[in-house]
Amino acid sequence: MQSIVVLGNTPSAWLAAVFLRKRLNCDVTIVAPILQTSVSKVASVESISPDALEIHDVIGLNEKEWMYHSGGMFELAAQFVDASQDSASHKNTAPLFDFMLAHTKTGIDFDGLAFHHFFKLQNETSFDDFSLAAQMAKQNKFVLPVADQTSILSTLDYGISIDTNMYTRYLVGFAQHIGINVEEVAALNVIYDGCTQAKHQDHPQLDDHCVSIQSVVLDDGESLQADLFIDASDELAVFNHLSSLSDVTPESTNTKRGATRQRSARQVLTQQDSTLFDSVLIGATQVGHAAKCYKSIQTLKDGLLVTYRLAQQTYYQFYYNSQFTSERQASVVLKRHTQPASLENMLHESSHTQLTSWDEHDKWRANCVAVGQGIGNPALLFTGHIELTLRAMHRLVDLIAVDTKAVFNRQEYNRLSKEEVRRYDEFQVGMLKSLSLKLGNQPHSATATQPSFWTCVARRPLSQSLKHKLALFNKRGTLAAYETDPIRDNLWINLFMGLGLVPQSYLPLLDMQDNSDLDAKMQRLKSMITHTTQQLPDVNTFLRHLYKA
Amino acid sequence: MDDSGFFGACFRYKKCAITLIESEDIGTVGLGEATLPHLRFFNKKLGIDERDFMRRTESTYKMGIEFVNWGKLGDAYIHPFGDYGDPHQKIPFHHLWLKAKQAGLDDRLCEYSLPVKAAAANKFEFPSDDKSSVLSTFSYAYHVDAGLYAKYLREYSQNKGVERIEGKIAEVSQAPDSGYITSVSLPSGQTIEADFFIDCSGFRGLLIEQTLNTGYQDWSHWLQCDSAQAVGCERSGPLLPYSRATAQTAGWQWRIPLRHRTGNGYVYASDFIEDEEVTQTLLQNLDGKPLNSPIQLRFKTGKRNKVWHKNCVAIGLSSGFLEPLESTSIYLIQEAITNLIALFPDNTFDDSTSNEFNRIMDAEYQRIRDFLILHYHATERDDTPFWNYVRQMSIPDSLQHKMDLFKQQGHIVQYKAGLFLQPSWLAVYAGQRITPRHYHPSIAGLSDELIVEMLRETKSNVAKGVQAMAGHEQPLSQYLDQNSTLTNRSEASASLYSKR
Repeated sequence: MQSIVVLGNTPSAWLAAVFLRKRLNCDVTIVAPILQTSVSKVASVESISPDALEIHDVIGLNEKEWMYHSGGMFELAAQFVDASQDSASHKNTAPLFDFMLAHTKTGIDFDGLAFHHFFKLQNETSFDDFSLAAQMAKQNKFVLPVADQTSILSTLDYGISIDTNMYTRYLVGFAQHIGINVEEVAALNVIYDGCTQAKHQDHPQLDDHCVSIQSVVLDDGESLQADLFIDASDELAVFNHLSSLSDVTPESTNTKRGATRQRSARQVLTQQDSTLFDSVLIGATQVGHAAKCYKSIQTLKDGLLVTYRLAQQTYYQFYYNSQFTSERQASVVLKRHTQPASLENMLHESSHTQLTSWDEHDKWRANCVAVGQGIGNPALLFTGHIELTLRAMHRLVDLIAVDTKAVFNRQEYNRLSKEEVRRYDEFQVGMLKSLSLKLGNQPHSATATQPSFWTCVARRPLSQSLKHKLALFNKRGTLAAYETDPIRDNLWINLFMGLGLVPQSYLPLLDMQDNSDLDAKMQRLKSMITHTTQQLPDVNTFLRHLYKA
Repeated sequence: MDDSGFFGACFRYKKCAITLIESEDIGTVGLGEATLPHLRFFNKKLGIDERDFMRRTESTYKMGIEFVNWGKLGDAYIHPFGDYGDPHQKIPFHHLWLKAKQAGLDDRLCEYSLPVKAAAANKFEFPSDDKSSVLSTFSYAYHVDAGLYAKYLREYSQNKGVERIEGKIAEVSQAPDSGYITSVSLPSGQTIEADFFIDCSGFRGLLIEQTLNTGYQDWSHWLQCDSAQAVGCERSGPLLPYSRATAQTAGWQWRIPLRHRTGNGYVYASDFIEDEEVTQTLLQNLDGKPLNSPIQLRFKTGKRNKVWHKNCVAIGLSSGFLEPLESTSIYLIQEAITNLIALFPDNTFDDSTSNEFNRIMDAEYQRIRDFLILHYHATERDDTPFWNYVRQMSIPDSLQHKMDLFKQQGHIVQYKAGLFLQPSWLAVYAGQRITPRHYHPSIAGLSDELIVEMLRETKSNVAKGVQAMAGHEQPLSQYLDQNSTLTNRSEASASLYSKR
């Protein structure tokens, strides 16, 4: 592997270039249309999970430094709050739920049995009372985990939320520092492997691994050859062109995405493969800002409002479905739920962005790999394109072959990529389904002829594996773990328990154990968590000291 | 009744009445004499003292299995309970070795594995709890007398209050509407009712198959062996800290060193060899005088379509059978028990619970199956019809995929859970002459000199570690001595490898 060309001027492109340069130590050239548009005009924020941060560490960036330059903030949890009962008649009604979904496990196992079983047994009411991370998030406290395994602080783990525009700017500087070549261009031409071009004329349906890219031609006519091409552009011009020589045409994927718009509201959400959210309204502001070490996810009547309060700005993302909520209505919703109560104070353009479902086709064809928003831009509530690109590049490095057309490695990459997307989607659907069940029989503007958004979510059919997972947990509090699931087991458990979706029965073996001191153990744990949290600094104080050091 | 009956009965909780029905008339199979590190973990969960267990079962330590004549006649390698070298910037060690090999290095991969070198030198000591030491890079298991182990567990169970009833099952009653098993009856007329039944009746599957008709997936087209003959012999020569599996004309012969005798057996495909020839080969290859006439066994490789159906779970031979090539029989029993506890039913016997149990056990069986098939298929032997068959047979897609990936560039499919992970697959690939075409491209930039130096340092650390270890028999005797004060501080883990 001598050389790699990365195409695109997106956060994914820069991240891919940096990652591959560091891991493979080969020549990397990024071909970017116009350098200054690497950042979007629209505010953009993403979370990077603890597991993805481990992958990110490989790049060799100093965490404190890149976090600072990305306007980043530590993220201990996601706060779920029900704000769906926002009509005047429900003003003083308590929310149906308000809990912290921490990245880390809640409680500790007793006698080899998972904590949440005991929680049910003891009829405790607040699951996140037993999570140090959740309690810290609630009080906006923060400290880094410690290595000493005897300390409760060793159980902590955190993600980082970042402004992706700022992060990308930082990466651009770093990329040039580590010797990545940058070519600014306006357009690309692609030259394919000469011998297979001739074959294509004779055999329209080429076998995938016969086709490969020989080089890309830049504005000035210069030809850039490489062993491997990473297409991280929004248009996926090169990747789609390559695919068109095989059995996939770009038109078919666009047709699939576009079809969503033509269905009725009922159809949109009641089919397993449909996108629940097809739009997002994004905004950011500095006014009235106070950084928080958690993101907030509010259930509204017609969607979800995710709020990130980072070091320098507050970001809002209102996810909705256009079949239920128009752009104008979405703007009103955002205005009503954000502070200050005025979109004019937003720093960036508030933007309605159409979301698209994942492209289900292979992402590695011949010697070209597609990453980033071009392969799909669905609602990503628990991951983001930064994280997905990290995971994709990590997977690619693991499987990259000397012969870049290696069939088996490509097949394995594509298999794992599809599985990963499927599992992320399952978590998101599982989360939305669970939310919809909790929201239950609330009217949410439903009428006999026009079901509400959440009613449709509740009716949506589930995949077999997700159905099994929910049924098993609902019955016994046991979590079906799948090999390819990038979501930690404890996130699923924290979600279900936090929403109060407590299993019908607890593990029967608990009845057979001597649990006489269980209550005392649980109270001691709760007390230790409360006491520890009280001693910790506020996250803003912690950050000030961190950046001063 | 086999080991699984007593294993199952051991996990008893206070308010659950457990009744074990077994008959002395039904002999135990007793093939599962070599074990995996998982047994230590399981014993610890039961609160079994290692020293007491080893004394009572005539155990020795096991650091791995030596495979002789598998890839080619004259070849030998050890599949260890441990890893090979350290990764370089997250790239597995074996890629460094591959690059060096392509540049002319002569050393085999096993030079970089402490448990391999230690076992070959007949050394043993407990793994160090210092994670920075090369002496922490391995785990170990036991060779046990399975008959004595079953007795040990019987005593343990009965001391915990398990009720044992001597007898054979004469009749099984089912609820007419649901088909659930309601009771079993003995020839004496005694009827035992229960809410839940664990079928450890062996190959027959009295409950799971003969009553509930779950059906069987036959894997014998991939794993041809369907018979075995087992015989003990007098001990001879030094006590080795590893088992041996020697590939023979139409199968393989095991050798398991215990303190009081050596266990031997020949697992074979009856389609390719006569029983008499097997007996002759088996007896000719013993270290010492045989202690009994060979016991003949027949089996069918495969597993029940469902190992949990209605209110019955099959554990042990009643759930399925995979030949003991990698000592997996006791492991599968323990895993079934552990998963049963995690998914213990209530009276509703919800489908989601049994579905989950079956899903987990299916994955365990299939992965082990693939691993065993690899041993046979990854061969250059063509000296007998049996080896010609297994070399050329079609294999499961799942295994073909794994082999293709490794042959391309040394990539080993990763699993989060399961028994045989990367080091085990690597051991068999490397030991049976499956060499990738390429190494990982990320190390292309490393000079041969640097790589050779890294390998030299690893080899040297391994050699120093082995040199510091004592011989196998001495620490074994010292540990089991009545007045011993030696303690084992190494952690028991469910993993086959070290906890680094």
